[in-house]
Amino acid sequence: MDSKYRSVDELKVVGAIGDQFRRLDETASRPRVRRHFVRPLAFALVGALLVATAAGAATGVLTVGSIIPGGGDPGFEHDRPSPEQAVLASGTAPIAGPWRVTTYRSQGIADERGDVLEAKGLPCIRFLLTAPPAANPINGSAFCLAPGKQTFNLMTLPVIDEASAKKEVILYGFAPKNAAGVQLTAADGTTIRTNTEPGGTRFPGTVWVIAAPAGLEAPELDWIDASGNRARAQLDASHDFDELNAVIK
Amino acid sequence: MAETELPRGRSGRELDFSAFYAEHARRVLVYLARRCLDPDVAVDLMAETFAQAFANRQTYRGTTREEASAWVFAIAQHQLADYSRRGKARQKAVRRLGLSVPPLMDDDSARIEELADLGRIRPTLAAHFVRLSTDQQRAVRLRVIDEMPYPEVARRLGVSEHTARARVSRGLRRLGQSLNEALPAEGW
Repeated sequence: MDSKYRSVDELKVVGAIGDQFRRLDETASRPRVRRHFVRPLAFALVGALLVATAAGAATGVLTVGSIIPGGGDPGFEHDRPSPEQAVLASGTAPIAGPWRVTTYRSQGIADERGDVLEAKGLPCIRFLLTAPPAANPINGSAFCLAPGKQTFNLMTLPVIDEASAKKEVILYGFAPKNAAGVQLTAADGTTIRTNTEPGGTRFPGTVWVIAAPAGLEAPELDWIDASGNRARAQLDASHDFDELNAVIK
Repeated sequence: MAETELPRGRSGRELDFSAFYAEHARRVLVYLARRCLDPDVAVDLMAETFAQAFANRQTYRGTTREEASAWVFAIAQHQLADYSRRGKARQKAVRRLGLSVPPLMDDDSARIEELADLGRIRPTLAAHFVRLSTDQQRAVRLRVIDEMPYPEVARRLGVSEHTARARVSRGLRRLGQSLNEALPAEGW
């Protein structure tokens, strides 16, 4: 090694930043449910992360096509009035219970320096469990379709029912307009297929939701056109499942 | 060079990030300082580089130290390119992780300059700077040295903001290419 580099440890700034990474690394390795669930979601976002922590924050059954007026959804983005949303899809998962996917336009997020973290007016989708199991750590999230970004994308939401100790993973996202379905394929040959729902005039694509059992190995997702052809646009969801499996044995 | 196995974390699958940082932080910092010529900016870029690496470590699939090195330097290069375009270091991942980049003390700053050999590089850069077109020189000077926002650079140059950005970007890219040719290999 170049001798010039040996004495560089004297750089306090390198050590100070390194200490913070070490603490982050230690925290991330600690088997605490909430931490493990928040972290992958927070890092995976294209746009805003929305977490509705209050169970029952969104009650009532809304059919596809319903409009939730602006300001009418408590718990949405915490400190800002919620934008108007339209319901694109709804259903019921075996463990997570009833859910709905809505679309809305991003309101724009800037950091304290004024750098735009998320532009205003982007088409976004939001997934929400409307009657989640008690003590489930995260009941909703959202992300936006940024210009130039891929049109097939994935978010995951781990769900635990502490009372029954059952768990599952909700996968949801958007897909291109011509996607008729989305298929999950795991290493053991398990396949789960769902139809997409059209975004209509409000969202430039389709949306999909899959409720999958936890414990799947190396699951991948692909979208399928109306003729049944796979797009070969595989999204790897193994990390999300690994996180859940690591937390709950 | 023989490939060596990458240290892994507790799960045996993901990076041992602390070891990874300890192994690469210094070289990445020097690499960045040599190219942005500013120790303060280099520290910001280094912090963002590792914050992005940390945020994406679960998706990293390399198995050797050499692959890890190439990965983190690719992120660093991306940060540099972004800095060249925007004129300031992005701190998105740093903020998202809640990291705090401490202010650079004088002795640290002097040591980074020494390690990066900035005393030798700056005259080289000056020599290459005068080879830029006059338009590019003016644009780079207003934006990078005088730290003016692009609308002001555009106003002073009498061009659109888009043109001002293009001139700064092309000028910096040419300088970067010149520096890459003049600098010794980083050994990663």
